[in-house]
Amino acid sequence: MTDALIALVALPLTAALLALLLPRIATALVIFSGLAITASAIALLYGVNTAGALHYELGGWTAGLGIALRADGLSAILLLMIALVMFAASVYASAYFGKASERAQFWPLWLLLWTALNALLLSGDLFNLYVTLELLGLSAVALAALSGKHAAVQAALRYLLVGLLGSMLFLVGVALLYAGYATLDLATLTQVVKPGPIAWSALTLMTLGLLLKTALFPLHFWLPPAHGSAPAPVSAVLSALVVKAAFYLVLRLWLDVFADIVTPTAANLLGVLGAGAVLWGSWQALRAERLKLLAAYSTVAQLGYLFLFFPLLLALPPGPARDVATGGLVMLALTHGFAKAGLFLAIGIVQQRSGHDNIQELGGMVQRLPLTTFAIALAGVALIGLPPSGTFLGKWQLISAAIATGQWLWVAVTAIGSLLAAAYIFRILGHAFGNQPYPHQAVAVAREEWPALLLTLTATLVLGLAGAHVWTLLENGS
Amino acid sequence: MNAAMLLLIWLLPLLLAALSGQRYARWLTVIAVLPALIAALTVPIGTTVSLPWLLLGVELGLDKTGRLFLLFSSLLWLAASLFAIGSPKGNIDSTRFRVFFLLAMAGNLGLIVAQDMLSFYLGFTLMGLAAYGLVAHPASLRARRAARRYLAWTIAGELILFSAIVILAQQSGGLSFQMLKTTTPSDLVVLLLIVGFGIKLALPGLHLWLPQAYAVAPAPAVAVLSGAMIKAGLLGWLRFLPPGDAALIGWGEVLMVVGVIGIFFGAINGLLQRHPRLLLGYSSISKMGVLTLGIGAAWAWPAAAPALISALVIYAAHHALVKGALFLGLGLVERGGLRPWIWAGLGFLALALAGAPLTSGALAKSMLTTSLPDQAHSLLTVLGVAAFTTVALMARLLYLLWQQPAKPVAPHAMLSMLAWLLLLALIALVPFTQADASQLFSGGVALLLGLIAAALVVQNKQRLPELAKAQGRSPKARRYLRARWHRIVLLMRAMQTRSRTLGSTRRVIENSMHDALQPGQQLQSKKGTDSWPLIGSLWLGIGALLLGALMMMT
Amino acid sequence: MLTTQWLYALSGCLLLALGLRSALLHPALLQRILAINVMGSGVFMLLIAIAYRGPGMPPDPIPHALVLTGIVVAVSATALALALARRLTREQPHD
Repeated sequence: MTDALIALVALPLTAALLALLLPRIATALVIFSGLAITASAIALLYGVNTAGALHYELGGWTAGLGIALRADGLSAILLLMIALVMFAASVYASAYFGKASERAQFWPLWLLLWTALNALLLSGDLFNLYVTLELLGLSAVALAALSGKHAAVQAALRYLLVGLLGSMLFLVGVALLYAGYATLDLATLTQVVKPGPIAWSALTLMTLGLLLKTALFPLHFWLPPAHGSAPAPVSAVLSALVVKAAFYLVLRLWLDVFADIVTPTAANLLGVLGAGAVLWGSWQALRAERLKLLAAYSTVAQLGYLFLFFPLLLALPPGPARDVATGGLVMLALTHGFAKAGLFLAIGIVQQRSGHDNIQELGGMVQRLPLTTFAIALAGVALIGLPPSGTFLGKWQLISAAIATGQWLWVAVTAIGSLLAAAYIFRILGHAFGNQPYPHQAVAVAREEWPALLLTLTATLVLGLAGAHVWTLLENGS
Repeated sequence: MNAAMLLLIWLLPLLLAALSGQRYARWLTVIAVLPALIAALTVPIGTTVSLPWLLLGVELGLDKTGRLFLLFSSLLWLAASLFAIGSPKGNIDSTRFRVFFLLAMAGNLGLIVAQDMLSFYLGFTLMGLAAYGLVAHPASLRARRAARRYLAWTIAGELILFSAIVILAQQSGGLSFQMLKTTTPSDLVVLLLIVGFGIKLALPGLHLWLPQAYAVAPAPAVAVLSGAMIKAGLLGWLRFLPPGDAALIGWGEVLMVVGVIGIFFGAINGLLQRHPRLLLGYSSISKMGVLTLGIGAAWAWPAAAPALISALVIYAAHHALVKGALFLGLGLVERGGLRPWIWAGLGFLALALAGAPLTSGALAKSMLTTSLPDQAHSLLTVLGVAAFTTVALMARLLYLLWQQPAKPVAPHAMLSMLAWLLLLALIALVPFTQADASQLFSGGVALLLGLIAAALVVQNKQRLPELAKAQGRSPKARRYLRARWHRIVLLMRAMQTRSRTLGSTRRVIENSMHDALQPGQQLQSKKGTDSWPLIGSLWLGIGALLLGALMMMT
Repeated sequence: MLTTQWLYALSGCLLLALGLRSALLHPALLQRILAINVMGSGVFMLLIAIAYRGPGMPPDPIPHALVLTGIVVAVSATALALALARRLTREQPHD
């Protein structure tokens, strides 16, 4: 199983270097390494499911100077999601970028992003996390700026500065922790961290940095322009995966490492910000005039739901009830990942075929792009949280936990957020299903339509119907 | 085998929906109904399927109530499918219509065999949302508006239902309907369920989506909407709030009052309509009032509940088939003009709905009245008056159709006609297989009185404005009403102007918020100020709060 | 010798605060990029102070490794930021 651990980092990294050297065969290289990475992720998930959490020290160096890789149920599930989403988006990108020169620029950065994502999920110590976070940020910024358009470059630059500010604070937190406890290993820190000024300020600094990177309301200002002006496959993975990587770290810190230090008040603060994100993001999505901005604001809102879980998890005593609620959180994150990636890919098709993504002018789209419209509708089902999507199960656990702990405010927020989501999704579909003649010559390419469709189908059907496995995996892999 | 049939009720329509773009797809809708029909006829009561790995654990099963629901729903879906296939090409014989039709079918037939709250909810939602596509199908501005209104109510209803389900699951510790039989629901849950299903059943006040939706949707869609889908609300009440709990007694009285209001609200409004479809829509609201009344009675008098429930299900079946057939008949008239034999068929249906002797209506009504407990004498009077109003409504329907300007007569599609005639034959024959003679001859008095009243109404049509006559009010009273309405309109306009002045202040605030939180868009317009300091101070402020919150550790 | 360690640590914090202030308050792009670099230097000073283990003892290698890696990251980030900024200003000279 350790082979799978290593392969998940080594494969994309090697492929990135090769793609840089041999741009001609880069596309084939990406597809093949993508398949291999997906296979490794499945193998890892299988291994974690049967044997529990895994741990491996590269080259035999002990943690500290060396690099240690580790995986548990949570990271293995997220790694598989990353592999599937990245692979689907790779197939899509091979058709989306028409010119060879575009592809030559795109593939190395793309694979670097994949490396960073995998490495981040597998890192078990704070310094590696810092490095992978930076690597992720840099490759994401470069990809976001790829189109070279003024708006895209401007948004990417803002994204970069925000990301750097966030990482700086994160690094200060890391330094403080090292000064206080002389270790950077997460597992060791979990055992030695004690309430006190060092832990408090370190957690505050690291959380502040990560909140900026994960675009929690009201720090989301950089996200809509960056996600809204990047090329479609890039927007897809930025929204589906990259912001979630930072969220994953928040989750790890709050629930594992600093579990003894986190107070209900602090968790409530995150919950309030999450509620703000749900309401404000959904409202802005409803008012957005462009499809891509709508999708980006919907990401802001969907991230808010994830933060609503913090006050609930803190209020539940550790045990089965809390594990079930945590599963709901993971389910929401997974479904959003698949659905939002599929949505952005589908929007990319619309944008390429009709030359714009104005919602008002989508009338009659269903006649020319039936599969694409269907994919958008499926993504909508998942974003609203209708059954049988995974979001439904996630929101179910969210509301159950809120009722069980008597925190009715979050129930109201979830309800209003779902209503607003229904409104913005049906606003698109209302236009798309119209009977007007669609003025654009639209021939969809299977390599573009099918990834979008399969991703959204995964979000609405596979995750919802086989949702129970996620909970089992989390339990077995802990 | 039986279990597979239950699964196919869900799966086949869903699978076929994926194929409905193919060239051979015309007959798919008919094939998709078959598992439900076969299951209703052959699968023994008590069959269950358990899929614990699916969602939060799915249970399907067939019980007595479910079987009858499945039977009448699948028959109606079958008739509507055949009718749709016979429609002229390009209109509703399109991929889009078929997809939504099949999805709604899967939801509607599926929820009937659901034995846990989540799969019921899944079917209910699928049905409700897919029906949006059916209502919006004509794509005219009017249809879009009606569909939007329908959608808003449906989603609100589904959200309310979802909250009720989560709370119920918390209280009963599981999702299966079996567990609900021993759970006492809290008042909040009962209220949520009454409202949530009440939207589907178009209780007065929650009915606003119904008339326009019925007016615009294609005929086969309205047939299943008004016949089969609307009954999902009734089944929901039966499943989620089974009678017998003491906590429901008070609510039963509330529901009876709501039902009575619904009966007369629907009837009076129906009489005021000029459009046959709107009239039938309001008649549905009135009939759903009867069902609401029955459920209320079953809650209030648990001893009478079993008999009442079987009577209600029969009543629902009768209404589903007759109302569906009425709408299909209207569809024939709209397409090809009124022919004498269509008018005769509609007349027969009108008699059946009004409960004339020897029809299914007589059977349904007599079952309902005999199953009411002795304490419920006053309800018998209400039901008698309700039957009278139905007669008036039906008389007006036939009159309206007769009055319609003659359309150029187009050839009728054989298949649509055949579907309709088969449905008619079924409605005509079924009561004789089920009932004894005494039940079939009840209700004659109300019918006679109603027919006399209708004759008088038609006689007097020259002398009074039509609406005033139907409403039974003098023209003076109508003028007063109109003046009052006018005042309300004026008041609303004044409020709008007020809010506009308030709006400008609000806009200033909104714009500044907007600039602060969306520097991306504002920078692109190259005129805004720099918002980093604001965001930065927010950021650091959050940090300070967080630090404070962490230090609050006890 | 304690004072040296504190000198490093406090000046690191000061640099960090100054950099943060400029990064948030200065509208000019170049200044912002430089401010973030100043912040980075502050963090590195802080890490160097942490590495000090007392007179006569070799310093802790781990913070040093962190600083080295951090510098590499900071340089590449600055390069990317400058490249993007140049592209932006070349397109819009008045910006």
